[in-house]
Amino acid sequence: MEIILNGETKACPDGTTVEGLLDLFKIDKRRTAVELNSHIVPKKEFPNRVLKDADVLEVVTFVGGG
Amino acid sequence: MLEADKKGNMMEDKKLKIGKYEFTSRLFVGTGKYSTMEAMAEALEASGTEVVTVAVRRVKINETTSLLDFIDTKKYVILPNTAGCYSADEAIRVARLAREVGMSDMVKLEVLADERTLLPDPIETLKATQTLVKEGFTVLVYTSDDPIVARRLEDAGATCVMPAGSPIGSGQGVLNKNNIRIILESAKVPIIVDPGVGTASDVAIAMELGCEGVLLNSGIALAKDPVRMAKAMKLACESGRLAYLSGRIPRRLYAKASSPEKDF
Repeated sequence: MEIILNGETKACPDGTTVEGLLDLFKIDKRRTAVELNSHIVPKKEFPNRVLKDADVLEVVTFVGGG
Repeated sequence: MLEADKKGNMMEDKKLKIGKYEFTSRLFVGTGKYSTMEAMAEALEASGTEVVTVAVRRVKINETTSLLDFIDTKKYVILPNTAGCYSADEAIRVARLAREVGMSDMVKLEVLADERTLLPDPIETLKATQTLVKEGFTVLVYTSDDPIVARRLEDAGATCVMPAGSPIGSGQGVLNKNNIRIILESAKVPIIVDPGVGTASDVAIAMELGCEGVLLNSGIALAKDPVRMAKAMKLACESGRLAYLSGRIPRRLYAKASSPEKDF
């Protein structure tokens, strides 16, 4: 299936969870927050939240700023 | 109370309290615009800061280094900002995401009005403050030096109000000391001067006025020697604080001799 990750279309296997997706793209989940279709996914739900085709994910972290 | 140790090095002072947090250093330092992450880490160390601001942005896929590789989160409290947000809704979204990262419930709330001035939008800032306070955030809010807006933000439950000395990144220092004085007169929450600091004396001036602290980024990050400037800012912050606690002499229009005027 295909999902939109930070504005880019990406392929991932059916049944991928939020955690699975972060692992797939080597994103450090300890340092991120995830929005799925405009709703925040709490960290404890990462392993169980299964993605669907065309889901839109925003994954953010901290960068330098003032 | 103020007390000098025998070497005259450190003076006792009460800690800076921001909600449930307590800090010895009164300098908050940003992590943006450094030439390298190593330079940033070294400057943070030299500044003696205990609070570092960060921005919230999309993860770049395949990027191997992260800002957080260079920040010891056991040593520094992370203060995420909502920089780049132009409405209450956007800022609230970013604040929620920042808290969800799981390192801090503090937020440096900034809701900007336009890109040219980067001045805060007072109406949207107040709305966002109300919502985030209700949601349990420790809100440190960027505002102009307008004393009435500062008071309204305090009334809305902001933990700390951060009036601008001058525009963000302008390096003009504290342009309107009188407004900062008026804000300080009635404030019951800590007042921290946020943007506009260009050099060490700007920090000292803010602290001498009685501000509880100063937050800066560009003044250090864009200096030719950021590490040395970080040290200068640290000393200025301590120096200004000591001068404030010491109680300066009144300004006089005419001279007053320091030496005895008779008996020679």
